[in-house]
Amino acid sequence: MIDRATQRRADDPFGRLLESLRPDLLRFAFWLARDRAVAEDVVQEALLRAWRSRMELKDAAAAKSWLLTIVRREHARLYERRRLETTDVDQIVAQESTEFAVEGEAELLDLRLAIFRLPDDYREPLVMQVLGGLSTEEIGRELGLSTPAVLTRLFRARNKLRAAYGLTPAADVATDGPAS
Amino acid sequence: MNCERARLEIGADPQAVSELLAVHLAQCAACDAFRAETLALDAHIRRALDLPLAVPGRAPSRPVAVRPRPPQRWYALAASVVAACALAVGLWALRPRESLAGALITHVNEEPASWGMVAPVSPMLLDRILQRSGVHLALAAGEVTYAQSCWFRGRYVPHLVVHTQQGAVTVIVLPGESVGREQRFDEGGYRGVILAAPHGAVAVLGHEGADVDAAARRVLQALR
Repeated sequence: MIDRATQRRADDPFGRLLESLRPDLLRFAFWLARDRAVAEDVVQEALLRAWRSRMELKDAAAAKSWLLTIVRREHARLYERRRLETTDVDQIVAQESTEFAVEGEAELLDLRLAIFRLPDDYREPLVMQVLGGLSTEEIGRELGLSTPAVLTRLFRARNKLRAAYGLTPAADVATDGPAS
Repeated sequence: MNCERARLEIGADPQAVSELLAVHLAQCAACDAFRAETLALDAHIRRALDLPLAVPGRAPSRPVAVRPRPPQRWYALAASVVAACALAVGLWALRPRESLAGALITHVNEEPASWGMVAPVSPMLLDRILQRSGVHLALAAGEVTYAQSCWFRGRYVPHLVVHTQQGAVTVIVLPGESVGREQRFDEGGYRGVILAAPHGAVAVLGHEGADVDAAARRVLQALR
């Protein structure tokens, strides 16, 4: 039995739009949080926040990027609120790696694990760029980083993944601007 | 632009090519090859991040109660488990598969930057991409502006963008792919043709107005 407010959202076109994008939001949140349960919490909070702020969305075509931004900020808020402890990466991988064993995609397993193991500073901008479609400048604004710092982090993220893909990592680049 | 700067830009966003970077790539085979590698890696990163996660809210399956069985029924239980597994594998093998044309369009849409390249790929890079799939394709230097070795339906295939007089077309060589008669398609904003070719098939697709037939004839002549 669902409550009236939930039913109202489900019947509303905007509510249906939110639900249609939920899988994309969950995927995005999962790669940020590296925890399925946390990702679901983040998405749930983000959808509530989006519903309350729906008047801010002027162009339905921009809904996905708008929602992804809300998800990212909700994740950052949750991280700050709960002061989530940095746990052993191997433990996180062991806990969540069952999500990676997708039938017919065995060749992606090593790469998925490698992305999962990336430090937050590298994984987050990469996910924002590739899944979120954000530009370097947009990522910088969201994360409070200079454009050169974002470029360096994205470069280092991909450089770390080269090994998982069977490529030799490139020489690291000198940082350009504020500490990245 | 020096190589370090070029590789920083490529590593940060391999899909984007600034004017300065384009000039550098036309002159530096090593950085050009680095970009090709990074684009191939990026395609896999995109696929890796596109993790299918079940959305909560679906009814969970009920746990099946298992009663202890007497020892003499162990073989019957084992046989039924094996039969169930065989059935599951059979059903999985018979699952509906996206059409070849649909899969090609999906793949091309995943690499939108392929259409925007202007600098011809180096012959060395093109050769390496083709060799990876055991393909021999005699195209003139300057015709190919995009070359990647892409994971497609279980194998690495050359994914090229070739410039013709009638515009750019995508050519995907499909070693080992068995197609009967010629297949034509017009969907998803693309027109295309899939033809049988030596050791497999070749697909040529382009946007509205592209002469895919002329390009397909040219590619078939060049394939060995």
